Amino acid sequence: MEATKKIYGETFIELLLVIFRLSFFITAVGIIFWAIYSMVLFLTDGPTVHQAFPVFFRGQGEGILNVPNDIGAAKFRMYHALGYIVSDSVPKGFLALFSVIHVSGYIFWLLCFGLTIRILDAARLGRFFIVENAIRLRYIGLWGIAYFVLNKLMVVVSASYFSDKLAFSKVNFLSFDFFGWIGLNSLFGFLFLLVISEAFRIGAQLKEESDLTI
Amino acid sequence: MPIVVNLDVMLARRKMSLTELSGKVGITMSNLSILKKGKAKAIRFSTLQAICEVLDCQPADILEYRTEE
Repeated sequence: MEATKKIYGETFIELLLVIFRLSFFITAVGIIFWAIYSMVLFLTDGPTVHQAFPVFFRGQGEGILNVPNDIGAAKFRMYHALGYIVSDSVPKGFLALFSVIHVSGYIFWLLCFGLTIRILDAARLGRFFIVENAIRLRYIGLWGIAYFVLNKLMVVVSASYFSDKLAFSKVNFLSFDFFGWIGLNSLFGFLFLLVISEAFRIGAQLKEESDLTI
Repeated sequence: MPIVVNLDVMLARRKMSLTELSGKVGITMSNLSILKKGKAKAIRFSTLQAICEVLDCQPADILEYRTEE
């Protein structure tokens, strides 16, 4: 009789697999849709009202902050703001560059989902602590960093392109705003993942050696 | 790997089966099979000692170093 290996948390792994497979599917469909939509816009000069372009801006002057139950109103200023604009039409060259960066970023994100699914698949079969999973984890970290870089690049490209072309009352558009742009939380998350993956790889190698020590 | 395990040769010389060795040494059949096929990454001194005792041989009779070509 073949002995069945009990895998703890199998239901949870199954649930995670469903979530990640669904996320993979939605992201893949989104990327394909976005790529087709961008190509159609590029070829037909159609309106770009469904595409949001990031911009940095700063409000002119001061506003009033009404604080309830307080003695008086406070003043506020608007700095380091990051927002999105939609426009009827944008030049083709910029649209192509923006779309390529955007789609490339999401392809890396899709690769991360794919690798996570493969890790969970291995875990479902009771083979979680293996060198292959450590290498997959390393690639998730690397692709995550690539996604982060492309995402930041996309913001800079868009904001610098639009900064001298936009006019809006009492708003100054900036080509670059360091404090509006910077946000390294996810980058450190992915770097931490790289460290964890190396520890995972060494641990998995040691386990493999221990398993094959007679 | 340049280290060759000659367990099957010693078993044949002593006219002993792998199952019999497994029972006398106290190592599972699957582990002895890994060792016999040369897939093991390492062998404990205690295991080597037990095998040598049962087969009445020296470690060199079981393990051999061959240069890789």
